[in-house]
Amino acid sequence: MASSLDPAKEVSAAIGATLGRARPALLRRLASLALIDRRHVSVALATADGRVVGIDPAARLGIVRAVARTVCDAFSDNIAEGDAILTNDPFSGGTHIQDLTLLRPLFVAGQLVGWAIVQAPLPDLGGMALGGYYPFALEIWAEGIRVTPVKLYRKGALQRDALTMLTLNSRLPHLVGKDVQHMVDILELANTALAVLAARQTPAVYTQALDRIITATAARTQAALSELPPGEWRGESGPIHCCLEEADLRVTVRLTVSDQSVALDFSGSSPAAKGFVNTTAATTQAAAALPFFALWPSLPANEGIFQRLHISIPDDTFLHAKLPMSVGWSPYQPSQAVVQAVTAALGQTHQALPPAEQLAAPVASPPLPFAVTGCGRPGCPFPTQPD
Amino acid sequence: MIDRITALVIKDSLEAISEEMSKTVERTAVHPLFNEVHDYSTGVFFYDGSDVRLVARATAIPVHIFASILSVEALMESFQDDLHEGDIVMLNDPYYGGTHHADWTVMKPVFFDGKPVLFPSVRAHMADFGGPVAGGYNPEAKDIWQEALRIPPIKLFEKGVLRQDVLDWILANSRIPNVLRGDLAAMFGACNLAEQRVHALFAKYGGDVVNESIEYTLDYAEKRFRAEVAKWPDGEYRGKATLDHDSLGNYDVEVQTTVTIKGSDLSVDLSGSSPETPGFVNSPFGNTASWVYTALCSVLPEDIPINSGVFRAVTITAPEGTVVNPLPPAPCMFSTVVIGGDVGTATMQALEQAIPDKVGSVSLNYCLCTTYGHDSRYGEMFVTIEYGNTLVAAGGTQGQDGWGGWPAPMCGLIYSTVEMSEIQFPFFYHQYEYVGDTAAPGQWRGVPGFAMKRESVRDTSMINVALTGVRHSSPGFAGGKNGASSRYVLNWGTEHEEEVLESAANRPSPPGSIIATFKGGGGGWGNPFARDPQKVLNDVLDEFITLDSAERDYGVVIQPDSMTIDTDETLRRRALAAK
Repeated sequence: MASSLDPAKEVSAAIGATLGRARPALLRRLASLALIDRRHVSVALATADGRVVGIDPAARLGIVRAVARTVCDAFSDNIAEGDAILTNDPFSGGTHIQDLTLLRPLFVAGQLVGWAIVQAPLPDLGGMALGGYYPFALEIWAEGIRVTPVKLYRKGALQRDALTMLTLNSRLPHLVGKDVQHMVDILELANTALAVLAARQTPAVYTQALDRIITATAARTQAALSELPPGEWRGESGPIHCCLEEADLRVTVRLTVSDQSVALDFSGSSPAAKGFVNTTAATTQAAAALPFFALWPSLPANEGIFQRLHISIPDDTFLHAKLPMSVGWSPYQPSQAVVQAVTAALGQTHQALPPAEQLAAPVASPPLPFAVTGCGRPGCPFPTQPD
Repeated sequence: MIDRITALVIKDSLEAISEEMSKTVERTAVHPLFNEVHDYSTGVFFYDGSDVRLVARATAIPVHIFASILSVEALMESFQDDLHEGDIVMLNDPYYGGTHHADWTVMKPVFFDGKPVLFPSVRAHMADFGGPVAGGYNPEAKDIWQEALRIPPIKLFEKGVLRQDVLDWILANSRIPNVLRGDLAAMFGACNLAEQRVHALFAKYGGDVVNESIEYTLDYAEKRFRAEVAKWPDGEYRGKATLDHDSLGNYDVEVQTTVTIKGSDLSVDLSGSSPETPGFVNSPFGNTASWVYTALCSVLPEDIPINSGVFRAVTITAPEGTVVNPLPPAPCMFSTVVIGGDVGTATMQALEQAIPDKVGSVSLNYCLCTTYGHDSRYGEMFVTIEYGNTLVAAGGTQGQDGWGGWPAPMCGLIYSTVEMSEIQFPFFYHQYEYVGDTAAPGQWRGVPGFAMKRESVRDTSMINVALTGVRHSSPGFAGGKNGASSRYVLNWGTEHEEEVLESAANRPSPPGSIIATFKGGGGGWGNPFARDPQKVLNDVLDEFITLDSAERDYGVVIQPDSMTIDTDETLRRRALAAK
């Protein structure tokens, strides 16, 4: 039996406490909260190489882990204490233009031991439509500007010109400027809390503890997945409307359970669409994992879950969006469709799944603070404007 | 007191540096807009501790280089005490001293005695920079965010080190990032080269001599300009130019100018111009001032140096909230040509009343077409501006017919050849020629109109169009006639044929479809009935005009059998017209 001074347990408790304070604190501060999808506001902590160790809310694990890995890879030999990196780019592990991720490294005694990560939507970042949802977007640039990973702070010094460029490209620059500052402040709080612990434990012990947390979760995930009977099951979603396509899109998935692995294969899903229902691979993976989170809610939300779940997304489908496709609606109806298809397959393994509404809650359509005008054809989820 | 020879040598050195920058960009940039069309300008700016001055520029696009003064000012305001050797700054935003988002300004401060003194600068029209419409010209834009990525003053290089993350961010917002990377490298290189040359100049002459020479050059230009203005009759002169539309259903957008000459003082007041428009023709102040300067510089003797010495002698007033000085977030992508050209025209029309012998067309009455798509020959995206449908705008001026393509002030820009366009883009040109009987009549006529037919080949392209000069064509001066109206047809010769009257956004042009266009030329100068009859005969022989037009528009009767002038009948016709 592990003692109460087990470093991994101590770190795990500290992570839980930090996240438990950080997200509510951020939600209280965000100036644009009334205009954004608050479900997308998340705080996470990661290892030095960008593997998420803890996150609140758990449903955002798949989304945030992809950004974290991409940023860490991009800056692996170019990161210093006092840096902060931001990105919204769907093609750098992200989802859609609205979701901004900010990351700060945690250094202890000169060694990189981890990252604090915050993600929150911005109310507007240019493009054709206020708010960024434009069903007729043929390309990503009609939705807003891409911000590939860029340093907002370098060694503690704010890069004013980079911040000005970000806010200049928003119709709501004051809200964006304030909220970026709040995100920076929350990261500082999170890192400060863990810095004390990491220093006391020593960097080596602390980083080992993070690895052990993930490994333990991977083992628990393996155990949970082994409850599934071996076999192959198919699932399909309902129709997904695209204002720029004649026919609806669909998701099809094959769930394969064997002794060695549990795999999801999305071959056969509809090809890439002209409009903004395309979905990046990271977003597809995140949605695909949601039914599993719901099935085993006691699993800690960290990288360990994804080590045992293999997800294959062919790059000629709309579920593997590539530059310059538009992706604005991807966290909603397309992600709902992914959840539906996976649930349909998983449901055939006789597992007792939570009700559909609960499963879909993280990806249900959001309230839209600004008008989004659609095509008016049957199935279009957006209203048309009366003359 | 600096001696004139040294001052002239240093002035010419700075202009040679500008020219060397220009050649560097031309030979190293990637997109044909640079290396074929030359749609960029280079110059050197001087900062005296409080103000920014244009000191020298290479043959350039006037709207670039004059507005760049405001860009350097924006740079100084943004970075103030945070500028260092090795910094390179860039911006494109119209409301930070830019003109429209397409024009990116790269500047490098060159230091002497620890202070930034001279700023070599390149300003270029980039092919693509994100935004909902490739090429940036979105005829449906209602605000500036619907146009393109906005770049405030931002350091690309800091103390000589590239900020790779910032460059990557900017490249991520272009549809052709590899081309953009190459073009930016050319601009950085030109600035770096200029820095070396400027250092050499300082080393040779010392800072005091260089500074004094610059002040001398500016004072000289101002003195020469004022001497010229002093020859013009005092008075208040009004001009007005009207733009067909703003692309969003707002018609007859007006620029009004009042040019006041008193001794050697000259002011241009644009009060009375239309309020800022919903559509993308709003002209930021830098753009407006550029076009006022363009008109003024066109009427000056060519040996007067063009620098801030001239500009500071002109007071320009443009009320905020008007189409000639809009407030953010008014869209302004089209402004460098329209309303900009209308500012130039209105200024010329005012000057026409004071110095009719010196005026002529400066504007382009632009017909815009941007095309983008995927070229399957190379497996790459392309974005480009078509010049063939807006190729002519030169008007007559005293002593010279309109010829070639654009008016002289805009001839820093060169058209790419049909052959190169067909290599670089999936186009085939069926027609690319002047049209007879379309030149604006005048004692000195305008350039003939121009017709183009361009076919999409192999791949489907997307086309964006904004057409002006239909209802309000290029005006004539001093009694010359207006230029012809322009036309634009999509899917020519098919059942889907469509005439574009104002604008069209994101129209597919599949393989085989043809755009057919006609562009009217600039206005004539002077009474056509005063044109030398021999010149009229030459025009008939050269097929610029027909026999009927010669008689109707010029009163020149030509015997068709012998192709000789019937002098008596011509005199009689012209005497009748004079009554």
